[in-house]
Amino acid sequence: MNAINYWRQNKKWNLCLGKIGTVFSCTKIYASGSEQNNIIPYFFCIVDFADGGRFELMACANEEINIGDHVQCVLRKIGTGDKKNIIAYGPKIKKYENSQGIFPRQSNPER
Amino acid sequence: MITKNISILGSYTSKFGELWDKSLADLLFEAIGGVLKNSTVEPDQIDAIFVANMAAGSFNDQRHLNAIASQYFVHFPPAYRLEGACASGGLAVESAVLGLLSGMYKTVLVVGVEKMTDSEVSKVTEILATAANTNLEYGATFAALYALLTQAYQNKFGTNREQLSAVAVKNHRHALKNTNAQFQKEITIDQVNNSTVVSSPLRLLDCSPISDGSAAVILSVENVKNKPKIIGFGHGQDSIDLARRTNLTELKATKIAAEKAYRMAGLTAKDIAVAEVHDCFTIAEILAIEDLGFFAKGTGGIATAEDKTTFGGTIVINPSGGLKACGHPVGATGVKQIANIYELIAEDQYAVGLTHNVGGSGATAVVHIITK
Repeated sequence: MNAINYWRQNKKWNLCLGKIGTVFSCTKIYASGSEQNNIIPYFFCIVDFADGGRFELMACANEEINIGDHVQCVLRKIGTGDKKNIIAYGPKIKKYENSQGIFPRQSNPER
Repeated sequence: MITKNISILGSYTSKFGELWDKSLADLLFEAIGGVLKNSTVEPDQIDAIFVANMAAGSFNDQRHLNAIASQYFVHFPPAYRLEGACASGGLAVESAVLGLLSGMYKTVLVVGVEKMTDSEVSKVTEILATAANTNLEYGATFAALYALLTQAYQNKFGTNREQLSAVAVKNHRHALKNTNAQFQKEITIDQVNNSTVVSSPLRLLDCSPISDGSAAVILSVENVKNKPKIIGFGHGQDSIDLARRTNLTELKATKIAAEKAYRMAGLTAKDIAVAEVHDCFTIAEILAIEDLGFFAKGTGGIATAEDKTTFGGTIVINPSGGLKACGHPVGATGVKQIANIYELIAEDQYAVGLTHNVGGSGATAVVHIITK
């Protein structure tokens, strides 16, 4: 991701950052492009957020994700960045555990 | 119904594989020269050229392929480059047909080419990933996107590991008869089941390879006796990113394309005896044979495991070995599918054939129906 595209993208992080959702589908990637070579293996997931949005996001390092897991969107390093030394941060998901055991209902599970 | 006759006058497919001694231009000219030699068409009869290629600009630092193709001919016919990721070939054939139907051209040449193996694997992975939504699907690979489709499909229909593996085993067996195939080697269910995980649950032998290759066909409005014809075609689209699709257990673009093609040809899925479908990953063939109407939704894996998609079965799927065993030089695949089915119909091995070419994770799909 080059610096200019990265700048444009981070203006959209508010669409999912901090939100809680449920994993609809997930896969563990063992062979990636060069920007993620230093973090394989990692999970890549389709997440349904409680407000109805669906996003495709990487999971945080060392997270083991399964379909149906409750997750929260957080800000983490997403790649090695470009040659101009941009440290590429962006939205990722990690498992969500609410201390009261209350989870948001998954919207539209049949979608 | 197609209002004009669209005859296929000749075909050529190069060897697919890691072709170290052949450059992009070598492959392009090999296919053009080969198809002219395999037909009775003179070079000066070619009114236009349609070039299918996904990413020569990235793989080979070469764009403007239409100009390179045109300069093969002393009369420099008008030439176009079509790109729709892995559906580039299907789109080029469709565009050529539209050019003929418009009355603008009488005889055209369609050539697909891709030279992928000069780049290292992670670079190829990155380039192929640009067929996804690079912003909304950042961090995904192509295997990952199809793995997500596999997970969704398995979750709903319970398709097991062996049914996925059966697709790869069948296509490798089919490729034993195809001297142009990248892999002419049988594999077993156990070998597929135990191959390295690429993106769970997809394993190495679930995935089509990185390949070099080219293919070409010549199409004409001339009604040549006994030459196979394209009698129907269809083109469907869907959201490029999976998150915005309404259903992840089917490829809507395929269903749209198939419905249009069948309607134009005046046929149904039951009339198709042989098909070259887009098996970039094993799950892709299972989805294809369902979305094209050959088998009910959720039964494609069982049908494959029960040998219903091989010789002697209900329908022969990917007799060439498909993308999995024949290889997948991206821009060439859709044209090679047309070439394969054309040759089978010309030799009277089957009455009606179908080709199915998909772009990306299913955002684009093109279907052609061929008969004599």
